[in-house]
Amino acid sequence: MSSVLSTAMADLDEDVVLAEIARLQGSGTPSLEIISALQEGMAIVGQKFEEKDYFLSELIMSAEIFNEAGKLLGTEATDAAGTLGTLVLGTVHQDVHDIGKNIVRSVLASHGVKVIDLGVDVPAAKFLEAIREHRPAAVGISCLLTTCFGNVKACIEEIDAAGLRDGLKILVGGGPLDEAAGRYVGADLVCKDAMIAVDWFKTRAAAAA
Amino acid sequence: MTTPTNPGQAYGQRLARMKAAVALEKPDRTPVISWSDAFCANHVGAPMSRFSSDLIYSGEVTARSFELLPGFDAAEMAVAEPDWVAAVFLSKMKIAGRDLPEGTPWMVDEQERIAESDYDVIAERGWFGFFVPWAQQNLGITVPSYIQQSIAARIEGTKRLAAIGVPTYTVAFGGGTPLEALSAGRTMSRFVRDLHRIPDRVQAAMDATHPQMIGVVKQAIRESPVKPFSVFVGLARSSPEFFGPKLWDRFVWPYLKSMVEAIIEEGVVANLHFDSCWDRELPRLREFPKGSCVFACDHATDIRLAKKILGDRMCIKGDVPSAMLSYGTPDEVRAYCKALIADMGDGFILSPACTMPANAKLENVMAMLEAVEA
Ligand code: B12
Repeated sequence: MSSVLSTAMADLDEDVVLAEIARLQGSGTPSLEIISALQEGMAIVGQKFEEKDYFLSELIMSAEIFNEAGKLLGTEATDAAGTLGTLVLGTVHQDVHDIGKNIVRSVLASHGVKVIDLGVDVPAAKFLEAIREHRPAAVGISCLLTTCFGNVKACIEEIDAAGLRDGLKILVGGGPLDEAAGRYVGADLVCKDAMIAVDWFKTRAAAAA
Repeated sequence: MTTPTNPGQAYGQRLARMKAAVALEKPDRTPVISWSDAFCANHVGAPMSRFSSDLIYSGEVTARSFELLPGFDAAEMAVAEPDWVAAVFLSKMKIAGRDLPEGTPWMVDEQERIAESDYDVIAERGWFGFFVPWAQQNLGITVPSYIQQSIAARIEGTKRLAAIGVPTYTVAFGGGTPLEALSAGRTMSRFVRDLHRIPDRVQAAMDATHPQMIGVVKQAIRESPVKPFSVFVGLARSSPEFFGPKLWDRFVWPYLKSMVEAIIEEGVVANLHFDSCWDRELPRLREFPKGSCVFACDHATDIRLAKKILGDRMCIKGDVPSAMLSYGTPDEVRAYCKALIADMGDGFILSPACTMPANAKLENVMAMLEAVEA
């Protein structure tokens, strides 16, 4: 495990992270080992965020670096690192807020979840298609607009109607989406932050083991 | 409290109430105001397409909505200008009838629209040297003529509201921090990366932008035919929730402080419309003179903490949660507002968190209005 890499990741030093990945790749280090060093760095980022040493901008920056690193490593390697299961993620139809969703993507990816990000303003049909294709453990729907809660509800109803809800959990989140709204839309879990989803994936993996 | 039926008297009573709250004196009752935005179109059954694209019409519809809800002491804004809101964020707006089905509220289409090299262009040519040709080319907006139209519509909207006895609470002249536009035009993630990789170039662009914006705001206040009650300083991504002290002290606070001071210098109230969580930096806002600002929060800031820290310096406005207004019950809304009024005391204006949700239930809006009546 490269401590240079995890430290640079934790310090958000993009140049060092990318250079170190190139060096490790050159010396034949397996991708999964590189990813686990990155994940270790991301865990420190998360910890610093909890301790209010880092703020949202640092989480966003870590996501950027993690994505850049992912490009060097290739999707095959990053997918293989998704040992906790798969999440299909997107911001609901007619909503374009994505700062939170992007943080969720990188936090989950750095904890070993394979994330399929469908982007923003995602119609229900696209969620259904991705569920059929990727057979995820959970679907994550981000929504920050009360005017779009109805779209979340409709999306979940379509997932149900298509017979895809069996064994599939629906996680929702976004600033104003509280517990009451979560019940209204028919979600399984309302996530105030990304870590709630991480915990859910971990509990699920532990139960399966 | 009965509202006088004469519009002039009603206007005076409402204005006095707001002034007392801002001056931290005791109003006859807690003022209640709303930035009703797209809610107005739904409320009066006006087509969203026209409301979103016709400035004068948006003012008419806004006035109609307020006429139907006489409990409000002010309309926060007199017109809705989605295309302009998007333009100042270097973005395009999707609106009903043009890009979206009828009835859909507008949607900012935020993409990476400016390049890293544009920081240098802004640093060299100043904000307007960059923005005016950029808006023409990328958004099809001719800035000078748009501003003329917008000013005319705002004046007309303000007069229309005054004619039914409703003051207009605020007007936006571009008061904010350069971070808001740049982080939107670059997208938040690119922008954050820029702050880490090329902070000096970002700052050079900000330093070239900000004095010009201050100049525009000051001039607009002076030339305004009706003296605005307050001038809008709208911040969201500048919030301490996004940036730790180091970045915030460099890229937010100096700009925020000088903008607010410039507005106060012109003798108008600074409307600190600060979305997201400001808890950490609330003490900083004590630096502004007593009674010169209103701190408006969107339910992400702890409003009671704001009262504790700022209550003896400035009026606080907020913060009925969006989800409660759209999906809660009138009882919930009434209870929330009553508790807030009791805890906040004088120097408080009741309002929705940020804007009234487009799909707020009318009975919930009514419950909010009832809550201020003893
Ligand atoms: C930044 C912002 C914008 C930016 C968005 C930029 C972007 N690329 O995302 C812009 C300017 C484009 C924007 C536009 C609008 N916005 Co806006 N915006 C915000 C603001 C200030 C912050 C949102 C944010 O990024 N927060 C930071 C992130 C990290 O938090 P988060 O998204 O909540 O995500 C965290 C958790 O909730 C959770 N989470 C979120 N999703 C998920 C999903 C899963 C699966 C999981 C596990 C967890 C999870 O994890 C995240 C990380 O911790 C909020 C106010 C607020 N306090 O929330 C308003 C807010 C969301 N906007 C609002 C409004 C009204 C609008 C507009 C309609 C404004 C207008 N009139 O034009 C448009 C609508 C655009 C559209 N159709 O989507 C309102 C919505 C209220 C309502 N009525 O429903 C808010 C709440 C402000 C307010 N109080 O009025 N906005």
